[in-house]
Amino acid sequence: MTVDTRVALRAPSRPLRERRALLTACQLGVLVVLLLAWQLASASPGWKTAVSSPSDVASVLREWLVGGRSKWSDILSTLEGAVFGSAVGVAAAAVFSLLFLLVPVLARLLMPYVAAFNAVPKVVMAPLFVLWLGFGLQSKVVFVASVVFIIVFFNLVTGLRDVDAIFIEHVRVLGAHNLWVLRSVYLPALVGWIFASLRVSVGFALLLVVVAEFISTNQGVGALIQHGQLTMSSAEVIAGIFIVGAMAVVLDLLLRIVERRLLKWRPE
Amino acid sequence: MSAPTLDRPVASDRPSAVRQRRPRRSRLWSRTGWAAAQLALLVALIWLWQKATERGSLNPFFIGQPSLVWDYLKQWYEDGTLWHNSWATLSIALLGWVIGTLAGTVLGVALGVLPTARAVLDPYLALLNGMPRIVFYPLFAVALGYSATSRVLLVVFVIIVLVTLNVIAGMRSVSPDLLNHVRIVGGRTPVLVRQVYLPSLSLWILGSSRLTLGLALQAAIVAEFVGPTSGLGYLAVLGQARFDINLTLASVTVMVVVGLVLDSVLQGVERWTSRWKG
Repeated sequence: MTVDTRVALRAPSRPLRERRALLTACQLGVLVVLLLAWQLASASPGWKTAVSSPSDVASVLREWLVGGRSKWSDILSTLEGAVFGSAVGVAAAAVFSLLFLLVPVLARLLMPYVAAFNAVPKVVMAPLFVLWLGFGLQSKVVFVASVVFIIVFFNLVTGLRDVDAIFIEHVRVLGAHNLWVLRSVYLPALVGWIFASLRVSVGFALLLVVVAEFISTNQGVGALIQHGQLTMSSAEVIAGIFIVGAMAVVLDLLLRIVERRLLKWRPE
Repeated sequence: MSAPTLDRPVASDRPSAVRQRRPRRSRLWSRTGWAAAQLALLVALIWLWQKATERGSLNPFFIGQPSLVWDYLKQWYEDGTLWHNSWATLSIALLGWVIGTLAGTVLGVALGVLPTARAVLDPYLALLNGMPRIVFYPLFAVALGYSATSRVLLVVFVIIVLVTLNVIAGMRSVSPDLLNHVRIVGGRTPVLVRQVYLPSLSLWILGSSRLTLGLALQAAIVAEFVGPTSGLGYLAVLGQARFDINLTLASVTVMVVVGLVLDSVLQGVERWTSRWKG
């Protein structure tokens, strides 16, 4: 009896969302319930074709990752397409946004096109690039790079335009010439905007690669998913989607770590 | 030199990185001039492309030819392919968008008034938000076939996460003073939702509709890439499979135009509804 009161005293009733351990337990509980429901649903043959089952998906993943049918070359091909494509796209966007800043005529002339491209549904370009550049890594990298370029470039140009004029006036007062303004005002602003747009565009880059692989069905995780779909093997489709999801999570995590390192100087 | 007056910038005689706008004699004229230059650039590029492929300095089989693309567009316009396929894509995107927005709003409001449920589901929402959800289409296709249902479901799935997160963020941004005022006069949660949350949310939902409708269109197009159906995405992949670059270019052109029209309509709606902000 006394134990009960003591427990009640030591744990004043706080809402669940503030109790870390219990909250994590609840979150894990949701996961367990979902997995159980999935396993139970797969007991009926009608559902089995649609959603497979957790154990089947796990065995497909095991075969792909460590077993006999290794798919690491596909996984790496997708990852390379997304990472190289983003890197090339961002680098080009940084260079061209500074060019726009230095040559205002260019900005005035081309900005409507940039804005229009930014508003276009970008996946529509996938068949075009596959047709132009074939099914290899090169085609994926160029496709991803051009789309990432458009997104990031638009963000950078509008971002650089919004740089607070006060900062520029301040360094001017200190006697800065153009190059100095570029180095001490625009470049730090650029890094911030690059990361802001990079975290959006890396997930998008992954999507673009996978969509291009849906179409070319030659190599990559997208091709694995498409193969699973054509052979009506939902386990393979789900395993492929899991791999894409894991890639997205890992890439986002890495970017967040790098971002925190590089933008340490920022307040907040 | 006269003393600088306060209503003018003091340091205006030295070069500044902030370009000061000189008063223009006719702003309208300069604007039409720029628009003409922009249009001329586009026309010149297309003309060069046409001439280069005609003379053979660029391989038309590889990069296509504007006149052949135009032929496709004209033919599609005449035999109705254009409307049929554009509507096939648009109807899926719009239907999925409407369902996804409504369902996302309900879900977001529910999670907004139930902070505990939100705290539990938070990591899952973040995970789904970070995932490229459009790649789920093959799964829907295996489960439901290449039907309109599976395509609408993909659009709903892509949209609903974004709308939910937006609605939750919008509910958090409602002024706590306003909430307390309503509570003091006896308003309970249903009243709060109806009288305070939904009116302020309508702006958030509208504000994100440009983003979500664009995504809905992309989801509908990818669904057509994957399954042999109809629609603009299907035509583009058909051209790719037949190595007919002009067919792909024509359908990409239509998709681009559809996307741009949709976006500018939404931009207009956004401007019209937020005109009271001044």
